Amino acid sequence: MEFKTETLENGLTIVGEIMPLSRSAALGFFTRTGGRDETAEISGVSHFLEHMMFKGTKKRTALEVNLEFDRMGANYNAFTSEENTAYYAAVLPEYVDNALELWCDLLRPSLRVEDFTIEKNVILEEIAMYKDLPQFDVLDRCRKLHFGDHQCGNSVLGTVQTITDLKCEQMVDYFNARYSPDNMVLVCVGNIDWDDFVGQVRQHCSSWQAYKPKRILSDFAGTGMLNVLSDEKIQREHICLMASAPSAQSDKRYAASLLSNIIGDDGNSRLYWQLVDTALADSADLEYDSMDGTGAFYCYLSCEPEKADRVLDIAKKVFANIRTNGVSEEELEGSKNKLASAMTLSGELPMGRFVPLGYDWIYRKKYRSLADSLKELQGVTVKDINAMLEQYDFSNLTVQGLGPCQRLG
Amino acid sequence: MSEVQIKKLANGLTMIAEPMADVSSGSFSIRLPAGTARENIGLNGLSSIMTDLVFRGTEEMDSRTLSAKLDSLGLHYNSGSSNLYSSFSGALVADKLGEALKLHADVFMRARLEEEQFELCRESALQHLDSLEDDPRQKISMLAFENFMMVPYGKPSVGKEKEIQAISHEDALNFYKRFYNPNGAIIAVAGAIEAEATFAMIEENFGSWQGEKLDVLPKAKYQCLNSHQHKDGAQIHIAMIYPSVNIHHEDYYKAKAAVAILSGGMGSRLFTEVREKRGLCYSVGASHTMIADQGLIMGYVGSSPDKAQEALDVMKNEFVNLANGISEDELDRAKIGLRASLIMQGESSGARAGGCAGDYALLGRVRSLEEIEKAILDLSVDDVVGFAKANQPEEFTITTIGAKELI
Repeated sequence: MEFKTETLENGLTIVGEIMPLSRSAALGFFTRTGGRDETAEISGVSHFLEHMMFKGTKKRTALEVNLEFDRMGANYNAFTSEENTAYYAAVLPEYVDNALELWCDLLRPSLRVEDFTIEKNVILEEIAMYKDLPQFDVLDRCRKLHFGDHQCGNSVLGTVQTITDLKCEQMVDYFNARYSPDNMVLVCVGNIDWDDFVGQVRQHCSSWQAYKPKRILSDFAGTGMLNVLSDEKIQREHICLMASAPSAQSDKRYAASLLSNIIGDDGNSRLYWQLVDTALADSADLEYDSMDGTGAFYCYLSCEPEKADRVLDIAKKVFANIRTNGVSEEELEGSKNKLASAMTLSGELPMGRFVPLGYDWIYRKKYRSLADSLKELQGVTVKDINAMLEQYDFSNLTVQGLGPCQRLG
Repeated sequence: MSEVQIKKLANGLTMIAEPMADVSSGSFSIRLPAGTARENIGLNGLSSIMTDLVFRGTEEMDSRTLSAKLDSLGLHYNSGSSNLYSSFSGALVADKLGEALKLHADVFMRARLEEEQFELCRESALQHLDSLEDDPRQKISMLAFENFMMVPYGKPSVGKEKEIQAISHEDALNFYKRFYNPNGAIIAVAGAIEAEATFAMIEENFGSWQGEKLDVLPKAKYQCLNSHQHKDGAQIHIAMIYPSVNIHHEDYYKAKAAVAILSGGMGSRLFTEVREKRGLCYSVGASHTMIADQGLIMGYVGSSPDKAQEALDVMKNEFVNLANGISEDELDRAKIGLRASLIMQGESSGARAGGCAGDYALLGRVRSLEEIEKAILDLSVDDVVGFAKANQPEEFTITTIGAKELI
């Protein structure tokens, strides 16, 4: 396994982890753009644009794009978050050139009005689908509540109103402002001929113009507000708690990952024993989301409405206890084993290395092999976690309820 | 690729090993003959409760100690119940496989099954069942299988409220005694392992396990009921099922290819017709699957109330339309897609362990990836169209959850 990198004159960076023995390869683009880079008027445009990226170019119609991916047997998709949009495909080695040419062409899309009009309906269906899933909706609402006016509170999907009102020209303007080669990273992993790969990227992408797009970066501790949205049609009470956490650039992020695992892994964690083992809640977990310049812990709870106050109270006590007493050596070892094993297992597949490689570059402009990452993880001590808890102590919790309850707490 | 090895112990337990090059992980997939079809009438949910209860302590360890042990191995774990089996599968660094399997021997032979823990498992099962009301996409396939199959098959693993409430601690003890049983059980292991040593290790841990011979389950039959559940949601969720061939049938791979043409990649028929051309949905797809020995084809779409009827009609039409012909290019795309996913499966120890156990459970042998690949690549347009003609959907089982009923 060998790491390679190259930056073209226009700023497009290519990073690769070459594994000559792999039976497949994964490749695709990360673009540093998402919900936080939108104004209120065009809320949802990043995600809608991600869909439109598959709708063809000067050379290809939408149907031709889909057929071409299928002819390679590609396992391909894309995702949009608050701050990144990624496009990727896993293919057999003989299709790497074809997949690369296709992605490079698609990332300069035509954005035709006819396609835009049909796809708008698909986006509205996606919004409707998530509206029927309160377990997602509550996280979205809580993020907005937690971040207040900070850009990280922006919705990724947008609303029915903003999507309905959005015009194709606005999307074209947004594309032109964000999909600059110096705002993108091309990542490849697996069975790839690097020199040949870079030569082809030069051919396909050298003409892309760079214009140094900017992003507003600031940390934000969270509003600590409480909001309850009562909806009788929902069966359970869905509760999200958020607290500030280290950013993606912080050296505390491994400590934060381990802490969230100790508190809220879906088995054998503090929240699990207090709430799930005892059948008070059907879900009680904690996730750590490291972001550009800021970060957040998300705790998700789901229970019967009659038990909501009790469940919320127990969860808060779990956080208070961690704040006062820290974590134990034994818990830390258990969580290290779980996370290290997860990283090792996913690292056996090219697709499993694609995302960590992309994020290491997008956020930190640094390469870390799987072995480097494991070493950093194993190096975290109880002292490190307790030191982090002094700064990120779960004392200022933002709380969003969604379900039959009229009020919480 | 190394050969798959299979060996059966005197107590009825089948062991399968697939050594793999270029991986450091080891995965296991265990099937016990303790699925929902084995639940007594009126006790639906018991099989699933047991997969929770057995991990809540063994003779030597309480629940927390056992959990901490499993975590110390870095085990990534899944368990659950289906019609025929309860499944326990995990992946970890290969040199710790022995310890993980040893803990399972404890769990399968020497679980505590305390009454107090049983009550918690039952309460958890009720909570989980209730939570599905807020997850219509999960709920719809459960309802659809139940509508399609005749008992004892098609029962949801999550159970039913009244039946879960009726399950007693004694029922749990009896279920464990009868169905946590080596007769008909399978342990498949794949990854950085050596077959003979793996078999010796399994035999050492599970060789003393004994159980009664189980009755043969009845043949699966389908019934095709329809149902609608009213829910004021933003979308109507639609599942449609019609019967197909099973894995023993000579047309099995033709059926797989037919479904790949409908729903393989984003250029497939359902995605193109329902989403890309008409914008009627976000999520649409079809799959070919089996419940016991009954093959079936199931489609799903979620669509807003004003578009759902059209989405359903377009989908039905696509299922029927397969018999009117397919193109060479469509078949080629389907073949390449199936072949690529087979090869990528061959890179993952977890996928291989699951594949070995699944094949043995259905076929009594394990197909090599080459065998499957050849069967797919040999298919012609006439083969697939011939299957579609012989297997025209006469009626669909239609299950919906949403704001209005469809016709």
